[in-house]
Amino acid sequence: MTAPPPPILILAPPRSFTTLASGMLGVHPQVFGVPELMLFYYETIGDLWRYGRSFPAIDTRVRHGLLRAVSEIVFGEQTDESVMAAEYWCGRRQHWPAREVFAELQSLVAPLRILEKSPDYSAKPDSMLRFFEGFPDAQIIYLTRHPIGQCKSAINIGEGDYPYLSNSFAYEGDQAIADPQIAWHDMNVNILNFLETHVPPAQRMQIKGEVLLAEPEAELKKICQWLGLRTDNGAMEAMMHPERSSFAAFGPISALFGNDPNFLRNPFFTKQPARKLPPLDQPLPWREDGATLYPEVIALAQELGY
Amino acid sequence: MRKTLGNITYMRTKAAHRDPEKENSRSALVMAWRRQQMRRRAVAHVKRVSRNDGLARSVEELYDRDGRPPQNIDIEHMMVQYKRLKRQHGWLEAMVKRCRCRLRELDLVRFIHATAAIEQHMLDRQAARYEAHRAIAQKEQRGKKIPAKLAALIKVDVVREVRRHELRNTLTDTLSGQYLPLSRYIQEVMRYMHYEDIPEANRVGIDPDPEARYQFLLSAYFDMVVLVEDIESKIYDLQEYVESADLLLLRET
Repeated sequence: MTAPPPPILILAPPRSFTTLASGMLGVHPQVFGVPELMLFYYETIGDLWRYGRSFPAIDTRVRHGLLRAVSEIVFGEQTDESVMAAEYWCGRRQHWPAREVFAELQSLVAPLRILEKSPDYSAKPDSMLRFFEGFPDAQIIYLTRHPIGQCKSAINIGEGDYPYLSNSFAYEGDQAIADPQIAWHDMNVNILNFLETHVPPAQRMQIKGEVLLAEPEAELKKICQWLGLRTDNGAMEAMMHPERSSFAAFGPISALFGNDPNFLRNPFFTKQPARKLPPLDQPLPWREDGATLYPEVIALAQELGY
Repeated sequence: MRKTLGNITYMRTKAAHRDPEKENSRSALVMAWRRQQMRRRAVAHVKRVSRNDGLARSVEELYDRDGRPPQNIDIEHMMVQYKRLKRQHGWLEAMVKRCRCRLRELDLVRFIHATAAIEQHMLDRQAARYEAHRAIAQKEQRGKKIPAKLAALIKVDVVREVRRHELRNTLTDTLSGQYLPLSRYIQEVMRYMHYEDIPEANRVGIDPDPEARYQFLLSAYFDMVVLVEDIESKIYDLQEYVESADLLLLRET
């Protein structure tokens, strides 16, 4: 039996166009994009399940992606019945290491290459390590977004809860201020630390989310060439239709999500004109004290090409 | 290795700052946010019956800000879920009835006293809550600070909600109970309920003391009553959605 092709992982902080990037790449004829699995967040599915169930607010985020993926890959459809079967499937593997569960999914979709993206890995370095230790031949796409754009987007979801949920606080003297730029910085630092110390340069690629949106054909072609995938017209055309993925809609009622609900509501891609990026030294719209980005954040943004 | 600026976590806010003063300021901010979040939920709760129910919330998230359902929503799934809940409801109600009979057999007087005390407690709470709401309405303080008394009542509701969530998990023990026809918790309740019918060799793990059995069954009984209420509220919510979807379809055709 031939070994399945190496997996592809998209790494980025939340709200960095990962859903769209993974949606587009995931419908390439040689790729199988799965929802956010969160699988490597803990050692086993059992741990992940218990974690999700302890906090009702995040339960759907933690479990729906994996349930939908198993439902589709193993049972061939996404219905309440197949989701129930997927729960049993996961239950039987609750003590397995995450690597083995992922490897099983990987072999089931072979010869297609499995594509995973879970932005939450960027907040927990050991989850990225766990993935790469299990799949040292994986190719990793590092997606970046301008700090002000990412922070504004993050603040606009869930009534501004993001900095509190991610413990993203800045301190002016002893005064704590909820500020998402800390999360932007630290998540990117976590990713860079992981990539620079563990992943050989040939196995990683950095892409700017804004450029991908403005010039999708050129950027996707570049990514596909690097991944060793087809770049003919048929393949390029397919990637312009993320809505054709089995996961580009709400799932059955027992596993509705697994991805950004805005994408699930409207999974179509429309090409956007190049965005004018805000200057890095402008006052931040979410800070009432007129503060700007911190020097460390500006330095990192400049290093990433902003 | 590059250095981080803060101490980010995923979905939890328990990570503390080392400096006590900074930590005080951080936790004050988090508490203020939690209060605000709780207030938002309380307001939503008042606006709609059982808004805090997980399923209703999930279904609600399907709709956009203008209340329009997405084009790809599948009403069939809602119907399937509705039927499943109805089955679960019937089955659990039978369990509650059986448990009630068993408790009456074990100690009729104590059981009547216990249920009467719980009912009285619920009525008192309801009256206190009604009174607090009326006081707010009279003073026209709607939208201002929530009085301490009402806040305490809401807190009790939140605690009940957490307990309800725990119970719901015990009912659908699908992960660890994949080889079991019933969840471990319900199995345990049934073992206690039918203690006399179980062969002596299989009574391992059940407390033989009648007092302990009575206490276990009494607590299980109230848990199951809460579960039945929970499922009823789910059914109620879902029914609303299904009916409004039906109306929508009728209007469109």
